[in-house]
Amino acid sequence: MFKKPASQAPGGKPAAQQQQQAKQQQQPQPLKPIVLSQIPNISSKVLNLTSIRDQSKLELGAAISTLKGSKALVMDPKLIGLLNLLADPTFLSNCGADRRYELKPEINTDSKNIVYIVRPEVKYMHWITEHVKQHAEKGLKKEYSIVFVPRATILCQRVLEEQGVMGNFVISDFPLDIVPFDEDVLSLELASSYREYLLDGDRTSLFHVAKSLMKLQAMFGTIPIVKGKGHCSRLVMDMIVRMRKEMGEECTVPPEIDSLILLDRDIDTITPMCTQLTYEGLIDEVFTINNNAVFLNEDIVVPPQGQQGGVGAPSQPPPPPQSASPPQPVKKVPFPLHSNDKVYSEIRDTNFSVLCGLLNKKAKDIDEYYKMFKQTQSISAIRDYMKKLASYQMEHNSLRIHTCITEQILNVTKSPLFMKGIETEQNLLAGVNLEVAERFIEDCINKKEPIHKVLRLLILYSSTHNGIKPKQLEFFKREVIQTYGCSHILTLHNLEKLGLIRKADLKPTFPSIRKDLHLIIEDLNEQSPNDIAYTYSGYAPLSVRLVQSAIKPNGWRQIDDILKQLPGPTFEEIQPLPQGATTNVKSDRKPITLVYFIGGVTFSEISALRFLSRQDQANRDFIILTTKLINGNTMIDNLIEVFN
Amino acid sequence: MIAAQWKIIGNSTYIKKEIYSMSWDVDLKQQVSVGSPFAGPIAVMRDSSKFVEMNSQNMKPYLKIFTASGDLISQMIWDSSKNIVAMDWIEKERLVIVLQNATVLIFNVFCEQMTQFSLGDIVREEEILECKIWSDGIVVLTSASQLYSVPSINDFFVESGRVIRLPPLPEEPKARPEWAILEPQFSLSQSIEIFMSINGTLYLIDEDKVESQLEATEPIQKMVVSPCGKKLACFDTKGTLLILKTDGSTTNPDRMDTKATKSPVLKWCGSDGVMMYWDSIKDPILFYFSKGDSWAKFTLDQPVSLVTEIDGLRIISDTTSEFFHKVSDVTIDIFKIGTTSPASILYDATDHFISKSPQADESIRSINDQLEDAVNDCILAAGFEFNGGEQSKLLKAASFGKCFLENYNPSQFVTMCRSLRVLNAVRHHEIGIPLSIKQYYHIGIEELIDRLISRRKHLLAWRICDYLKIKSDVVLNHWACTKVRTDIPDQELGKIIIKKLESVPGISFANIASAAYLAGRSKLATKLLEYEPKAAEQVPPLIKMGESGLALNKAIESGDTDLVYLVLLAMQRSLPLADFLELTFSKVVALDLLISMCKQKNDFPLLREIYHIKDQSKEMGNIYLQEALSSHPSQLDQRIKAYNKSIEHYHHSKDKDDQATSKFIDDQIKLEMLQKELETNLQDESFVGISINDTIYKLITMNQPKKAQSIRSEFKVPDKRFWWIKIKALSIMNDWEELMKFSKEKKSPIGYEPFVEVCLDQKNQIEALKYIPKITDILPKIQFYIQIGYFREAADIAFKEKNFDLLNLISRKCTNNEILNIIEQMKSQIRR
Repeated sequence: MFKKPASQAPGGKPAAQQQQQAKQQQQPQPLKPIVLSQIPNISSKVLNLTSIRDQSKLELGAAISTLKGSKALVMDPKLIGLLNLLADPTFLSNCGADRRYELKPEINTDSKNIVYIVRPEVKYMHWITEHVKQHAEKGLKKEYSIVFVPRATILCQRVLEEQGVMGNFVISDFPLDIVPFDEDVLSLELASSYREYLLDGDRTSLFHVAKSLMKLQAMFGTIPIVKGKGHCSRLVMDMIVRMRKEMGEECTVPPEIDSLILLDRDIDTITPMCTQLTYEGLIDEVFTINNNAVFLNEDIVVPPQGQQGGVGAPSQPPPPPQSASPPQPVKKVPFPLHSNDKVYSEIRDTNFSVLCGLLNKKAKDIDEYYKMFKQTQSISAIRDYMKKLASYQMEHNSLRIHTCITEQILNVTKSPLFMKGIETEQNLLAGVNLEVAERFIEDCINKKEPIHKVLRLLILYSSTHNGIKPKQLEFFKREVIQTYGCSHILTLHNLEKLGLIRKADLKPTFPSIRKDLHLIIEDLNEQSPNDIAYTYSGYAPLSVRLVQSAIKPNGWRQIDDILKQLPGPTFEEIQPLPQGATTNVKSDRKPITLVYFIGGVTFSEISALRFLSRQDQANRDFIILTTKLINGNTMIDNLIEVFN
Repeated sequence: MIAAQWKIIGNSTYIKKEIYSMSWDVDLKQQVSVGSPFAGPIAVMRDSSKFVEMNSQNMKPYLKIFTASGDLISQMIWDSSKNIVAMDWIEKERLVIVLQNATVLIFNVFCEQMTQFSLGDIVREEEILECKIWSDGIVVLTSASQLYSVPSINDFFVESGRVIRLPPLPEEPKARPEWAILEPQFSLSQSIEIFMSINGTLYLIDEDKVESQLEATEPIQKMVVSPCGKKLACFDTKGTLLILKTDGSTTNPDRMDTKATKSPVLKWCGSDGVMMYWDSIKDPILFYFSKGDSWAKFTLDQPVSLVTEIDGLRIISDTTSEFFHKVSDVTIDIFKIGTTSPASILYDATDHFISKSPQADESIRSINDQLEDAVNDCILAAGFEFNGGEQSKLLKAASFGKCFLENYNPSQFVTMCRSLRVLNAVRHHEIGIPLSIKQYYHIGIEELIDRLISRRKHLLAWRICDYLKIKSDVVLNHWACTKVRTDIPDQELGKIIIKKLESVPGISFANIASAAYLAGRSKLATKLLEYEPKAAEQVPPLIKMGESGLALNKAIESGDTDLVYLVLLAMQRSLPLADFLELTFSKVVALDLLISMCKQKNDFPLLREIYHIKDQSKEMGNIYLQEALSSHPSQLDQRIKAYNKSIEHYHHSKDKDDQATSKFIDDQIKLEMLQKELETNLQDESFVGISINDTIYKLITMNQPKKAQSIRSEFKVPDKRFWWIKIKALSIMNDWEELMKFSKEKKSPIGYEPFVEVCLDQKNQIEALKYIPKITDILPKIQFYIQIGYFREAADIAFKEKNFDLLNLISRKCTNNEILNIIEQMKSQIRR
């Protein structure tokens, strides 16, 4: 049995269960501008990604300006957060987008010009059509433009034609494909990419993946070495080969990225089902991180008036009141999470169990700094002090907020249910105490725990044991349908079709994979970890283990037998460089590997890769690109069938 | 000698040199001719305003288009019922003809009509009095004294052309007004402007307003704007020529009194001076005027046609084409009699060198420090020469000179050699484009290539591209598009085109294929499309040609699902349903996308048809299940009908799991019927649509335990789950008495920890305390005591069990010193 996170030791008085993900508060309309910037500064370190965002920003400005003058900007709800990573409200106002709305079946605006910016979804076309017809009935004369992200589809245009409103619109594309989230993280944020191909056989997302790689290669040079694992990766590689042929002439930028690793989410469905145990990962599990921000109570984010001086982080949260009054509706505001926050960049990737210690130390450092002022005598010393004051104050405020977040996460992680859940996950991973795990799953259903939690455990069970025994599976199905409703017949069908849940019919392959790749680390040291397994307190993410193998001298040949047991083809190819492009001989920089997760990546997997790049034996930097930043809940969201 | 041809006019030197002996058979006495600038073609038409002797040769009027060298490019018979009010060239060698009925026709150099449009009913009704055409537009003056403007002829090619009414004239003209156009590229307003002389006042008219520029002038009979857009030449009724500034800042205009009683044709010679032409039958006269007192008179022996160029004037007669222009300074320096300029010395030195005279060396030494300038001047002078021999001499001089220079940058020399080679090629009589070096630099090589292409001189165009190392795909593309309109058989022509083009990077075959298709060559078009590298360019033509299967294959191969959707939608429109489905079913990718499309568009009939053909019972069952779940709970009959359909299909499936699914749905029907009953009996319409668990929970919270029990029995809800539902419901109701009763009803199948949990969830510690003692496991028992702050009770249990570790756990959580002391004593006793 491997070590549990220390933070999960029993004790204290747990608050109400908060495992359920915090729902994002519905945006008022028109949308208020976000005060804090979610836009990260990404110009330094490994690769200068600013040009990607600058180009997208330029394209956004052009898209919004398809209609001249003042206008209302009506945005796809799923795009609002993403656009916030690109441009601030000032930029939008300068483009004439004075008012900003969330796209809904109804619209209410006085603006004469309306610019819609949406993903190409048929249902949105129906909503927009309804808007146009309503305005026409009221005799309102308006100009319309639809900006499709990343591009208009034939299907959407056909629907508009069939509705008889196509002539009302100026149609344009806004190829917002790659969005920088941090210095080393980029995402397409295609929400349904995992489901789309594997469940529906729709390769649209893969086409966008290939396009995004072509765009990166145009900016940073053709990537010489490509390795891939999975059906999607193979298809993407084929598309790239074709796109290069279609291009005719290629730019001759010297390559800055020396290798690309393409990984299907499908080859490792275990990792996202596990609870992430890094700080950033736990924030995502408890609150859900959307577009570099987490929504918190306003009183946490806004600095309290008059608070100055050193404040130590409390080692224990204050006890909740004995009889709390019914909670008032609390206003939520977004708090940005990226490496521009110095405090956050230091703690985001650490295992949660050592976080309190880190926060305490940080608080002491800041307190020491404030005390230093009293000892400061000379004018020059005072000047030096004042120079650093602003920076320390920012860190102080950030520390306060992260302390509050940590306290709320502790309320979850200390609860017996959470600890039992972690134990169950670890037992399933280790292949022990299966009956105890089954009982726990049954208890969760009995208690009507969130269905996401139940489904995650069932998937983890099935993935680690090559399926669930038929009788047991039938029992679970019945329990789920009776408890959560008949619509989940379809949900379970989706999971079965994807192979996430299946009847046990073969000898499990996971044990040998687990053993050969050393996925379970018993004697883990969370304080000073020496293995990526610290991100899941003993379980090393399978996907990142594959990356670890890929960058070794013999690469994947050493684990060929293991790779055969994972779904989809394995390939390794050399991309010929265009004539005139020579390899960059800058020797002052570590080689860069681009790791592309097709179908999604979790924050703890990102933490594992960052850990890897800090190790001497890796000797390289990683840039992570993905179709979507996910956790187990958001991954399952796409597979659950909901009916209104 | 070159200098012998020069003519000194005032302070400047001019030359009127013959470029071509015209090979045409045109009689300019009886013809109207218009030439296109930049060495462009000449259009010739019978002049209906002149007296024409009726003879057999002139019975059918022709429109003929010639090169600048007089080679016939094309001709067509002109319908004499079509009255022409204006004819002139616009950009890109396109001929515009405006008819009296306000129709505008546009032709290419092959007399092929490219398009036509109307100036509008109003213009036709008002009748065109006069019409002027400029490089991309038209201005019309009607009999109603109203001006209309076509701002851009090009816009009519993309179907966005407009006709604009200009502001009304400020006064009623007593006589027909004279006017001139200032093109938008030169005007302050960036749109068309008109200079118009009305009753002795010169006005400036733009799209918005009319301004007076000059008052109390003599009536102006002729006016024309210079190519640079800065000067306006006016000829008044007294026979005086005036040169004004177009920006209205003229204070003291240049003028010349010709004392002529008849107004001449006015044409600018570049932007330096104005040529006046009196077309007298007996003694035609050219009279040139430049600034100051500079003028010259030329006597002609035949009529001429004049074409203004940016750097001179083309003078075209029945027998010759001449170019009249100012001689460049560098040419004068080299060739003027008696000149001692460094360049002329270098030029002579080269002659000496070739004839092996020792004077060459002496000459070079004498201009040693000015040698670089001399070399550059010779290069420039070569550019101004039309004569190949003189070009060669000058370039040799430059080449000779640069041998003596260290670090000389030869790029200027190389560029000039290349430019002259291109110019000499197009100046050849057979091509007939006598561009000057200035004109060449002004339009650029791309436009010259385009003109060669549009004249179908593809070979020369390609050779020039090859020579200059620029991309030739546009040439080859146009060549191929022209080729497909010939009579060569498909198979042979396909080979010719493919062999020529397949190695050209990035060339588009789709364009050529479309041209082939329009020419009625479907097979050739299909074959050519095979070579189109871009799928997005390949698929739409295949759709248009009715090659659905091939289009579908190409779309799938491309990986672009939007292309596949494009093909599917086109097939769905054009093919019978059975054929459409048969073709789609043969491609898994296409079928998946069709299914996806049906789902997105909620096209359930087609979706059912597909699943029916595929005999996919499970998927069919899924659709009906979705249909049921999407129906509103109040439409129970509709839901049950869909549920039954769903069961039918799940039953039909061979998969054993689907049999189990049909059982689940059977239960669902039963549930919803019971729920409907409950809604009726309990006057609450929120039962249908919720799960079994939720139904039981709701009934308990509504104080209906018997009905809850009934649902439980009906659906065989396991004891464990039922227990959890009930205790949650009772606790949320704060029915603590009933909860206690339930806990004693029989031994709890879930133990007593859940009872504690639900009490604590409701913040009721008092009730929780009643159940904690019933917990049998020590660890959770102690944890609960700790959770509610009962450290003493927790310690007692740990002590009774003699568990040292548990006592340590409790003491870490406890802050009460008294209890901590007790715990220490307990630990001491255990240790002892």
